[in-house]
Amino acid sequence: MTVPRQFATQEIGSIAKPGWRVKYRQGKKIEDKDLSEARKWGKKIGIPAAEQETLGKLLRKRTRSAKDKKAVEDFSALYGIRFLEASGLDLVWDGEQRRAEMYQYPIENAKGFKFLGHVRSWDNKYYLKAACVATPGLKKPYHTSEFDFIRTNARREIKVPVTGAFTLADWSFNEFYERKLAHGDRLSKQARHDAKRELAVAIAKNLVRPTVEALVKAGATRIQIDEPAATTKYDETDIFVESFEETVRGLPGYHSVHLCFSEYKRLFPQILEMRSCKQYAMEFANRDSRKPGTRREDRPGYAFLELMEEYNDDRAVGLGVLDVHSDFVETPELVRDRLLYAADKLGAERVFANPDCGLRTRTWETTFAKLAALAEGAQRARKSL
Amino acid sequence: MTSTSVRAALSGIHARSEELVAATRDHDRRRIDDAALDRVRSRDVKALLALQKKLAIDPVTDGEFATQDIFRPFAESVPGLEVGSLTRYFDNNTFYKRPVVNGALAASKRPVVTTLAPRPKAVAWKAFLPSPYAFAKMCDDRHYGSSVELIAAFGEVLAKEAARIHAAGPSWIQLTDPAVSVLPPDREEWMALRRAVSRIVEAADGSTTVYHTQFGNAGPILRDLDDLPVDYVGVDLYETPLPELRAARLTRGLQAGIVDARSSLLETPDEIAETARNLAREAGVRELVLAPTCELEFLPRALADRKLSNLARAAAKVARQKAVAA
Repeated sequence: MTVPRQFATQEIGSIAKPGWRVKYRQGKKIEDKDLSEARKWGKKIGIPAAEQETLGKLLRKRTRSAKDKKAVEDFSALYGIRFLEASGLDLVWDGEQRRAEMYQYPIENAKGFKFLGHVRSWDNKYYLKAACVATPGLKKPYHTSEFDFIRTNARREIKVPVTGAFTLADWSFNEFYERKLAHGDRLSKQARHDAKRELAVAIAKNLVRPTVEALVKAGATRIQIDEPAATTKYDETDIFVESFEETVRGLPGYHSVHLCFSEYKRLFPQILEMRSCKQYAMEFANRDSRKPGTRREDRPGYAFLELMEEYNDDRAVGLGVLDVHSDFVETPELVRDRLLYAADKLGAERVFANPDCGLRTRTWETTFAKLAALAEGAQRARKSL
Repeated sequence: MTSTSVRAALSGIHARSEELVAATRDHDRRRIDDAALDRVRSRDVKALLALQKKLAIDPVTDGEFATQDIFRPFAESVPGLEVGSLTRYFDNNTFYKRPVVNGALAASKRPVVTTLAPRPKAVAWKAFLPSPYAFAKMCDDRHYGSSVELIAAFGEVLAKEAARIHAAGPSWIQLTDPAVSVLPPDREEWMALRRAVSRIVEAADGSTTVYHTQFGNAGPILRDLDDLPVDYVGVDLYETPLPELRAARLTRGLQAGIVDARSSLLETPDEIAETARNLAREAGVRELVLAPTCELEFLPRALADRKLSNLARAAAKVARQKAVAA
């Protein structure tokens, strides 16, 4: 299927893993309700009955061989792909079904890091945080096998999400470079900044770029660099920009960046130097009104678009139109109006439609309803033009 | 040096153990019930209280293991406030739910700050409140339209809470302010803040009070901080240059954010003690609390406990030296 020129719809990151997949991986007993869940969703998203049957047999087996585990993981990825396709998205992935988490997964595939324990992100959400203890390196490109499977199975165009170097640096403790620059003394603010640059650039060069290069070689054309940490420290925007460029500069394809949950205006003007980036995919719905409308006062969450106009930034925007931290299901009208508001500012060709961020904290029911509303809203927006 | 009193204390929410992390996740996914979560949380509280006892820490805290962010208990229970959108918490990979002010604020009818364990009798209890300034700057105000009025309104709400904390026994009350050194107040806001803090200190009626700043350089605002009617001013020493602290000659006690709660690199007790001695000698600090720069929840639990232990060992070293000198 071709991607629409206006309001193309895309996922941003992960969706929740099915209960059967989680339990199977943890070695727990698969109950009838898990099997019935697999059947229910299989039917809804178009998994052929024979394949559902194969999955059921695998899940019921008492012994779980390595081959079986791989097969269940493949099914989980297939369900993720079909889920996103069935919801109506134009650009898909597998909902990151093979990744433990967007930080942990690449770090597990990196050299020079040591996991120290869980740290809270908010409420009861945590991530397993590592310290960089030696020069970062790559064990092996960690997204190529995912990509190969998805390319073989997807019926829509693929966009590959890859965690960015700056985020990997920001979410790690920087023991190696801070020690290196401290020379036994307490680090100055400037020295800490320099240590962060060394870490981020080393991760970009040694870890993320080789992974992206392997994806490009395998045929990937759309790569989204996920940088939720980009706006964490405003005096480090230069490091974020440099590490992004180190990651994708000169590589063929359409490269975008995902940003979320922060004050975007402080990224300007430095972000204009990120010349290899063709699209900002961003969170907005979280801060917007839930009432439909296309006037400026109806859309307080989308003030960033005015900033793009102010700076003559002509990139595309992946418009966050779904709040990922709420079970509230946006109506197609609300999605449509958010898109039309953005189209009025940027032109419809520069507007993509997506959730604010990954929907992994929502149930499949809620996620599907939200994504279906997104697809329907984009369709209505196209008709309204 | 002989006239400086030194102690160690926590400065906010402590890191949850790996068991509590797993239990809260399981609870969210309805794999365990409330009672099972409470059992795990109680074990965490007991372990932290035991560690503080072993380290002779006074005042102690329960770790606030049930607190989701510093504003949430208020946003969930104070009339006029509600829980808002997920928002980045300064320059951290951490988020809070921004309180929304929808109407006139009024004190909660029930205590907002509750303890997770009975207060030990032999030591003081340290409770944490957000500062009225941080509240005003970090909320979404849809009612007052004036930061000065908002600071005053939060001051009244927090004063009521401070009175309740004090009534429960010997207390330290820390007003945590992550905003003031990052987004400094204007003159009118400083005056409003001073009035609000006065109301809180009055209501606390003899409790030891701390105004703790974090995440930013407090150097430019040290004189204004010293003008607040609290017993201790808290400063992040990783952000605030020591020469500025020396020059300020604080008249209040200092809660020194002396171990970096956002770095896994451990400061040794000797390093901490040396910095403490410098502060006493060169900045003329008479009352010194050695504390983490901010909440230790930015670290995994094992590291957080080690940082706390090193703080206490450093305080003991300084105290021993003082005893010998005396």
